Amino acid sequence: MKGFAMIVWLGLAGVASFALFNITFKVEQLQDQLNTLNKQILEEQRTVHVLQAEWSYLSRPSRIETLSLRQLPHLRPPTAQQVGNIESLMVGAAATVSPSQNATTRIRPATVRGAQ
Amino acid sequence: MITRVFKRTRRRQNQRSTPCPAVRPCAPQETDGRTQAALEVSYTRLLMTGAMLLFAFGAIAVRLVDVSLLQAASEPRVAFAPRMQEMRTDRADIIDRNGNLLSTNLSTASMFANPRKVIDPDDTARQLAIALPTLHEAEVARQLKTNRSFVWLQRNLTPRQQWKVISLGLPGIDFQSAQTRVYPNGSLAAHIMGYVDIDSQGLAGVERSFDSTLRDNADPLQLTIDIRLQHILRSELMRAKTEFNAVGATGIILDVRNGEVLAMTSLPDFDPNDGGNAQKNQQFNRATLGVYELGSTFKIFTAAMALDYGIVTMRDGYDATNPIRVSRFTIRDYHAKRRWLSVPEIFMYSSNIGAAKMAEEVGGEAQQEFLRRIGMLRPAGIELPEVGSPMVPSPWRPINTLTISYGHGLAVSPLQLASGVSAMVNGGIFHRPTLIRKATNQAPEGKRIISKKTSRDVRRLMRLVVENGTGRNAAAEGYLVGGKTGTADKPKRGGYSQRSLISSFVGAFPMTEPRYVVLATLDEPQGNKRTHGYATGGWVAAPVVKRVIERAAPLLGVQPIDEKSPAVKKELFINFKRDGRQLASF
Repeated sequence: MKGFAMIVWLGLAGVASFALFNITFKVEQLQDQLNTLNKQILEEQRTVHVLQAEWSYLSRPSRIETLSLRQLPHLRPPTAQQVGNIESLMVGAAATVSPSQNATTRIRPATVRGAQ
Repeated sequence: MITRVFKRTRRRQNQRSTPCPAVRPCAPQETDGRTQAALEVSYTRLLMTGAMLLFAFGAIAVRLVDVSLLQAASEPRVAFAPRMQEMRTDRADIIDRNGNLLSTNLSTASMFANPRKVIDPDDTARQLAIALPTLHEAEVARQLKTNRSFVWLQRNLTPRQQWKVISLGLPGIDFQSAQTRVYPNGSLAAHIMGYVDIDSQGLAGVERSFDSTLRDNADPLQLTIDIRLQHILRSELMRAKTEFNAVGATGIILDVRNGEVLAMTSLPDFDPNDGGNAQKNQQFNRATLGVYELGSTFKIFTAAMALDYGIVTMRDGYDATNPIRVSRFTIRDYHAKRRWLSVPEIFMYSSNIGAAKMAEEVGGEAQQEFLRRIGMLRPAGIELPEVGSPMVPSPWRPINTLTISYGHGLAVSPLQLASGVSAMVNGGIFHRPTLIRKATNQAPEGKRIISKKTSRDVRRLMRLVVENGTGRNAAAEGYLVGGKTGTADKPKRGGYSQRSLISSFVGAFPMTEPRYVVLATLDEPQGNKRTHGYATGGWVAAPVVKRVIERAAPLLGVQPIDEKSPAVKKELFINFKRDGRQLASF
């Protein structure tokens, strides 16, 4: 009986030791992983920081203007006549389309006009 | 238990001490007194040692229970991993109102050499000069031949340059990491940003005024400027400066509702990436540090003052037939009508005689008080170290009252003028101009200067100038621009130079409910064929404001207005009759 108890206790101690060591090693492993990830994040932050500066340099208004004039020669700043609000369009549409027409009117694709 | 073991042992030994009947006698056959005493001592020692061990194990057991059970409550339930370090630069970023990067710190490598470790200085210098063409081979070779242990070869290499040098594998060449302040937009907002020295200490602009904040804080400093508007203003001013061969130009876009500076340019400017090498003329901020007599734009204040004090109404007027002579001074009209002029006409035709008579009636003290309230007599309270003090006449003589009414005799910075005008058109509230973006609830409240009614009258007068007066070249269609031209002779020794002008236009839009003030000033512009030789504010500065508004208004979300609509006509109508003629400002 005494021997059996001893075996049980020794077995329990062995299992507990194994579990404890296992957890310890896993935690250490995870901690290493976390440190590596943190370092990677820091490195990525530095890269993003440099890229932000580069983006800011590449998207400076003077460069965008030069590129726009070169690549999109027909694009010009909008004039006051080209700016409107959506409400005025809705009011205009409601006034010109009667209810009976509205029911039968089919939406057609807008025709594209050349740049003026 | 240990005691029991001892007793058992003693018993066995006692049994062994009995006479042995065997052939050989057991030794000792009988325990004598001495042996017995020695055994007793051994038992006692064993007992003591056992007791001590028992005590030690007992203490460990108690401590184990204490640590594992009793003190466990104080330990965190969740284990904390080491916290991630945030990336931090030596100096915080500066961003514009939309979050665009204006200034940041980047890590760069600086190359140095330990000449004592360099094997072949000539070959090393040759290889370095090939990798970095900006290096002078002979100079590098000379440095590498010295008997020192440290010489700088080149600061702030790009990663590509650093890689080129590393790939050469030269002994004795090494790198030191350092941070460099970078301005990706170059000279776009040079005077606002300022620049830093090689040790990242702010030397001008917001870099200087917020030096400690930028060093201590990790959060970026957000300015009120918008780089898109800044670019529009700068490019249009640059164009006008070149066209009219001016020595300088200044422009400001101000939000009239809170005093936020959306754009501010002073030309010529410089590249903050190399700010230390800029010339003094380039470093000089004409918008805030320069003070100028800004001419007829001051008539906005004269009219507002006279209307608000109740000295005149929109129907009153003054006789502007003859010039005013005060001692050795003569006050004339540039666009002389030689007749009685109503207040709107005085404003529209920019009559110096009319404005002077208006100010004379208001009086010097009241004029001083009014100008003090709109910040014309003290330096502009903007967050820049480069702020000029206005040149105020002392004592304030009656002649000063007359000349200041049309913008001569009092020199202020263009920023002071813009913030003063914004108080005249926004309903009468003065806001201190600012470059630092604040949350809406943190913005300081303004100070009332004039009544809402006076402000409305001033708006009508300013619209009249653009509609029918000297500022017609500023009429950006659909945005109801109003404004005032100003052309001032530059002071020279003993008087004024009629050849050197400061030509300005200060406008606001849309005049039904102004949201932005735009100011353009050109220093010593020269008229050309297109302007028929004129270099006045209406000819050279007003078109700048027009183009800036046309380009900026869609970005600012200002809805175009039908200028002919009855509501607009009613709002901007000026009704006065003179000789049966009616003049309206639409």
